[in-house]
Amino acid sequence: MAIETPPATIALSAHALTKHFGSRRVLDGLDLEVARGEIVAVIGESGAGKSTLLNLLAGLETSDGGAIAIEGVDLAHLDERARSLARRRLIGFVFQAFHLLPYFDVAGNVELPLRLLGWPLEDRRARVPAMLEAVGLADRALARTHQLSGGELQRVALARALAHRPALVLADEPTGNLDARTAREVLDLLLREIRANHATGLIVTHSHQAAMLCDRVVRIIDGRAFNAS
Amino acid sequence: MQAESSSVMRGVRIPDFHRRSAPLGFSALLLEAVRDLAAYRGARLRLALAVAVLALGVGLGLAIHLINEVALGEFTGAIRTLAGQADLSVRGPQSGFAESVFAQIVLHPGVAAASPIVEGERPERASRVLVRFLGIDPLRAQFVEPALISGRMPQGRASKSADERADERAEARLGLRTDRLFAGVRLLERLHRSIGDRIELLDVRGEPVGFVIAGTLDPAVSALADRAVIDIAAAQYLEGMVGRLSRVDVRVRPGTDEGQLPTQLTRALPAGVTVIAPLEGARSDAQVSRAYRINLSVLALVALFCGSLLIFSAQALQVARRRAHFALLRALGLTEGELLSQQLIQALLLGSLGALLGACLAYGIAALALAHLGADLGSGFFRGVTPSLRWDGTATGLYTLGGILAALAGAALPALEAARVAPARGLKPGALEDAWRPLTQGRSVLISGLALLFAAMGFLLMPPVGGVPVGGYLAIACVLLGSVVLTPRVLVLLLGVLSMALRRRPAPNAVALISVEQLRGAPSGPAVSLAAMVASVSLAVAMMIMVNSFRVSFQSWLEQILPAQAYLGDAGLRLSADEQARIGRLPQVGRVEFLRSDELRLSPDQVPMMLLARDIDPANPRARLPLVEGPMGAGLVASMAAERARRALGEGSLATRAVPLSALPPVWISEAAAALTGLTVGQFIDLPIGGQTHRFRIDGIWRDYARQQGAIVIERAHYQALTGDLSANIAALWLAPAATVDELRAALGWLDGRSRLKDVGSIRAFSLTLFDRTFVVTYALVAVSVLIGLIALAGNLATLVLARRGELSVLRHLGVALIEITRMIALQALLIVLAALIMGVSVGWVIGRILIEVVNRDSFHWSMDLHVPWGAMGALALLLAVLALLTGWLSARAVRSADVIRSVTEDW
Repeated sequence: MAIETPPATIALSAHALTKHFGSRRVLDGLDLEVARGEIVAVIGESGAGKSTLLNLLAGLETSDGGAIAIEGVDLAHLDERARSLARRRLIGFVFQAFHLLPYFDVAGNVELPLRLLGWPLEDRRARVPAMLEAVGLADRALARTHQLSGGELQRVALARALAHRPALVLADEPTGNLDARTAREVLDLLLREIRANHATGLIVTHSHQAAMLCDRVVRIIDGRAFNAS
Repeated sequence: MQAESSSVMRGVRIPDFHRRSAPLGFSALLLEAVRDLAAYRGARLRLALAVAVLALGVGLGLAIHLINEVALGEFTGAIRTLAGQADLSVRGPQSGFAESVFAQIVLHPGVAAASPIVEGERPERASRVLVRFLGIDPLRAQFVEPALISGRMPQGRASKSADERADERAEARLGLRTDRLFAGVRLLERLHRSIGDRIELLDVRGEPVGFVIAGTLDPAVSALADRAVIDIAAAQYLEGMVGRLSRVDVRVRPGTDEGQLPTQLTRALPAGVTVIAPLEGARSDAQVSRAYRINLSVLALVALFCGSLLIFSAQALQVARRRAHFALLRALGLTEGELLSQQLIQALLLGSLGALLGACLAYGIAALALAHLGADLGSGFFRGVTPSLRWDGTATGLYTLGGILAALAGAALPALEAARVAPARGLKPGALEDAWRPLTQGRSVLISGLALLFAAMGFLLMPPVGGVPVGGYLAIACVLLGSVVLTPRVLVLLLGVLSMALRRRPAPNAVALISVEQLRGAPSGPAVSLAAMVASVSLAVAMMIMVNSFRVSFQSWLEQILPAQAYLGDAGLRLSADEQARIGRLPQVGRVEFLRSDELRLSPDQVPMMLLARDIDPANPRARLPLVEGPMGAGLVASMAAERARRALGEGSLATRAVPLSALPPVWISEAAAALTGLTVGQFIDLPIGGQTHRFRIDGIWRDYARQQGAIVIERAHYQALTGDLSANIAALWLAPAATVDELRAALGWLDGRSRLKDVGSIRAFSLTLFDRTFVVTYALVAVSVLIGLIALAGNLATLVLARRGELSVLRHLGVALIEITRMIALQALLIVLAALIMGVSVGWVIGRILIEVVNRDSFHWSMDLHVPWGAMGALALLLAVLALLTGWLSARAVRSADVIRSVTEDW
């Protein structure tokens, strides 16, 4: 495992990232650095490569060229299992369509990352209610996912993404499936909790309004990242 | 086509139903059904396999029917041909009856013509080919069995003298002389002889008797192709039946009351000689094989059932997976009825394909089976019948229809479920599990399952109907259906226990917990497929238990029934008293026991039972007979079987006679004889022996796997006293110290040609080979059952992975490694197989017991001890577990694709 020593303030760095799908070049030498504690909005047209960037940063896909380091961990030089373990420890995900696991109740979904990391029972028992309290769903711990509204589902997803205190939260259109009012509430909650947990955030969004709430906005054009704020 | 235009959503064509103004017609629905089938992603293999299993069910069922019908047709046709124009047939025991009976018959005013017959079977000296012959009086046979004297005479030679030509004319007119033999064409082929050749048949004493092949029997009469016709006097001499006859065929004088004549004739005949209609006799002979045929047909139905279950499983999972698609169709304006029709048309298409393939397969299987196993499918019935396959339109149509109905039955519930999808709810995430929630939580399902199991218990008390264990079959069907219905419930229960056990551990393995929770949280999908696995595993286990119990019991029976070291003889051998004494004096013989067998006809409508007169110690019958009920006390199961037999025969039968008389001589009856007569230990039985009826006390019931028509053992000394017949058919030989079987065989050289000494090991090995041949179809179905289980598992996992790729993708995002996902799916496969094994073995054990205690007893009237094949079942479990892991690993490969990672962008 090759681990680089990063500058103390850099949580995420991507350098000269390229990615092709067949003959189509999606990312073309993309460079991006995000400081620790910073929340960055990523915007761009559909098909610009936003989701591909998230997958590459999370080590779910491999790039055709370039380097990625999350909290100093060089994902490009890790095998699949090590990448998964790094992702498990370092990253929290929030999806547009919530994607809670239907066979777990609310508390079970929030507890899942902790189980995967092997947290002891006492710690899990303390952390899960705290997270549910933080997202305002303390009384829905035993509810099944199909009993929740869209806003509630995304709150649970936020709690799951932050429960294990990840260094980096990757959110892909976290408000895309919600109405305007709920979207604003959820976004506020997401930003608040990222900050409260001293995490770094990268939020892919189509919403200009949502992007404006982040610390910095990056636009992807022709496979490259440009500061837009 | 009314849905003319369409749009595309995620690669699936969505017809624009909202543009139409009239209901869809059949052709439009058919087209939609075909298009919809073409869109079955990931389930095509499963559907193809379901169609294949359906084809197998139809194929096996129809093949067994075709073979049996052909064999039965030939069998009864042969009887009809041989009986000719006879209205009645007078028959006695195997040893025949006195010629004087013929005079009584022919002089009866109701008899227009009568023809005496002696039947026999003797080896040809040079080739050792067994020649089955009919000894006839041609002058009388021409009026009753004209087919026996028609045929081809030798061509005349110009050089013949006038006397020779006169003789030939006489032969042509009279048909036979004592040294002439007319042979069937197939027999001639086997003998490698032709007309004019001389052959020698060995008589019961082993002496050669010469015959000239004077002509062939009518080649158009297939029943005669393997037989010979000789003069009745020659037949009597060959069989040692001088002065005796096997049967007399009778033509009734026109105007005579045919209903009364048999009674009048029987009254004048000696005990043990009865009058039957020839075809009635054939039918009761065929009855003996009926149980075997029905059992095979039921086994074929099992394959059909499994095919139906696979169709159900495939369609149910498709409906669950495509719930949103159906909801969208409904939202676009497709009515509930149209959606239901579309789904049923798909089943109709699949069923038709499977059934038609099955019908073609049936003729192939039947042709192969007839060529390699014979018309009896290895059972030993219909010996000597060599039929050829014929087209049977009615049966083909019925079995094809059965296959289509099985497919429709399998698809009915999923189709209803698809049609009832509420558009609004079906389009919401999480609706997939809702679709089959009633299976795991519905009270009606639980009640139905339990009701089926209770019904099974009720059916077990039902007596056989016409010798067919209808109750047993219905009980098995109820147990199978009940367990299939309850499978989802039991799965949830098992997973609940497992989940609790995992959660109680201080640090449970997260992957294991996710595996269990994923199954437990959404058990309906796996449960639907698990039902197919449970059905197939339970059927495989049931058949394994039954066959193994039977085989071990059969082996044990062989050891008991064949206690000596070597055996000599068969039903055709006659050892005189002098010959018996000569054998006893041989220095290689330590001890010898003799047996004389004959047939007994207890009633005109029953197949003759075997009478076995043997050396036996009445004080210790267990030394020679495998008693299941005797003076030492009746077994509970045997008593239950006797009670079932009594109920089947009805009150007022033989069974209700008062128990008498310890002074009577003892007999020991086989289980089949007990079931067919309704008699049991401590009662008496009247047996026609030596032309008179004698009363005996039943001292025991013994297990007999050799004679399904029933057998009765009496002391040989008593038999000799009653009949004066000192001959024997079989000698059981114990070797003298240091003597060998080969030495004894050499010492018995003077018997060469009549019978050959066989050592007990080779007899037992040959018997077990025959046994295994009988169960070859069963073994094949066990293999098919296991295969179906694996198909269900593979299909289940592939569909689950496809259906849950979104969930698996989320797990990948949460940091679960590919290898862990692979382990997870493999573990789930293992859990499903373990659940299938737990349930399948339990249900299989119950069905196995029903097969042993009810179906076999009612069908074949024999008992067997329970012997569970732990080794084979362990191997099956291990095989399934390994294949489950392999299947899981293969299914998990689908998760590696980038599509799976990107599925989190979908709203699943």
